[in-house]
Amino acid sequence: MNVARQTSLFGAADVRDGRSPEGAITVSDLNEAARGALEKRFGDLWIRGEVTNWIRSSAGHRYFSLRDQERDSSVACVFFRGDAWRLPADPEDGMEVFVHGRPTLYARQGRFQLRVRAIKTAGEGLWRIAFERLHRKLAAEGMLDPERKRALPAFPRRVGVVTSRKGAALHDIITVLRRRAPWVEIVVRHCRVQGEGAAGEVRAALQRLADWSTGGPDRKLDAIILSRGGGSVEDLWCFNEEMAVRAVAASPVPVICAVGHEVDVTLCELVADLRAPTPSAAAELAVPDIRTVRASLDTAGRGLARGLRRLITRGSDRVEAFAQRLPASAGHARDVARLRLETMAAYLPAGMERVLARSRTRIAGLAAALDALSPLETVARGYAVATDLDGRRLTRIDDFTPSERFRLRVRGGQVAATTDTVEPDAAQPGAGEPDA
Amino acid sequence: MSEPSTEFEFETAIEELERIVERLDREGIGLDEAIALFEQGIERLGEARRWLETASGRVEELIASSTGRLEAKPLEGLETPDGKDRPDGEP
Repeated sequence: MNVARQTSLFGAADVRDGRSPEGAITVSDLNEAARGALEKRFGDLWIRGEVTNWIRSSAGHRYFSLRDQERDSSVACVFFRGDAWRLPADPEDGMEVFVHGRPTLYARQGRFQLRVRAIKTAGEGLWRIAFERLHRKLAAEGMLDPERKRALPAFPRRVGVVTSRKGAALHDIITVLRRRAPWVEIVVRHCRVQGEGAAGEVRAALQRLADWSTGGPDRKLDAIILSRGGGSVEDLWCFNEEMAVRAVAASPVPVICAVGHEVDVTLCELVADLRAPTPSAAAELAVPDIRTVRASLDTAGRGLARGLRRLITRGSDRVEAFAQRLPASAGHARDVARLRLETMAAYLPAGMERVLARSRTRIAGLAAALDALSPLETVARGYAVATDLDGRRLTRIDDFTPSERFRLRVRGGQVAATTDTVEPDAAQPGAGEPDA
Repeated sequence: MSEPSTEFEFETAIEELERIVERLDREGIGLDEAIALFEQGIERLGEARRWLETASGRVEELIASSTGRLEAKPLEGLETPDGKDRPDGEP
């Protein structure tokens, strides 16, 4: 610090110390020295006051005055873009605020001012204002209408994820998706989820995934999860910025949004197709659990078994009814058919695939059994089937009336016949066994 | 990483299965048709089950190449899921 001791009050060389016309200093020297002295003396301070004359420059800087109304004094304030981007909304004129900044001097004009780093209001103040302002706008446009919400595919194959690759949210989402739906393909698009420019990155990431999704059926995304873990209001703010919110609303792929914890509600979540309380919950909503899918397959399997079993029962009833009418000589075939049906019926309810091979053989057996017992087969075996002229089967002695005409179906054709006499025989069922 | 995902339309198989069950439930269906449907159903069911238990989706990251074209690359830096962590230990 030897150099400092050798310099004058104004930091200029000894020859130019401003103590004499010869040693006069420049205006710039004066302002620079004054700025340095001010900043050194005060450092960063919190200052309370009322905002007036708020101006936003095209470059994104904000200029305003902070006023002490009681004592009628004010100070010029400059809030550079690099800090001011954090501000969720411009404060309204006359709003009471707390300004964090450093008293300094704008050297070019020698003007005393506060270089502002942050502005706070009582409570959620500006955040609330910004949120409500955009909320009103979106509501007026119908962006928050429940009818806008799209249903998510019941069985997604490909899910996009927009979040920071550094965050725990990504890990949570992937873990849940893999556990519940191992078949699902996951396409991650990284973006920053807090800080300046984050809203723009969220928008870009959503657009990129949407572009990707249109690249072919093997790229089509069924849903996009937009998420980040918990944080302060400021950390989560980009999810309330119009740029990000509109990108969610415009996404051609349904969006599930989970930002922060359950108590945090952001506008991105409100315009999304589905809102989830946490990143893990978003993943759970995106895909069905493999166990549920297995259960639905089991249900389908049971449906198949039920359908066939019912049919076989019905077939079995028919065989039974037919068997009742068979002569005693057909008794063996009847027993075999019944046995086969019972065996089959017993097998079907159990594991369907396991018994498939055996079932097939048995089903073939059943078909053969049914064929064997059908009238045409009966005829083929040398029996005749009697019917009335309308085709109704005459199976009992009571079905025949003397002088009435009937037909006989025999191997090779039909015979037109007339009943001569009816002779009931208690020992034999008679009908269905013609005397051919 | 297996690739059956693009080949097999699981949802279509399920829909087909549901149609088969529905047809089997209809009145007046013949035994031959029922057996054919049943066998068809069992086959679809088997395919769907095999696919469900073996399909393993990729985990990729979408990256813009130097030319600005988007490419999906395997996501690095996270443990590669390999199905070992299936809750019921099935393959």
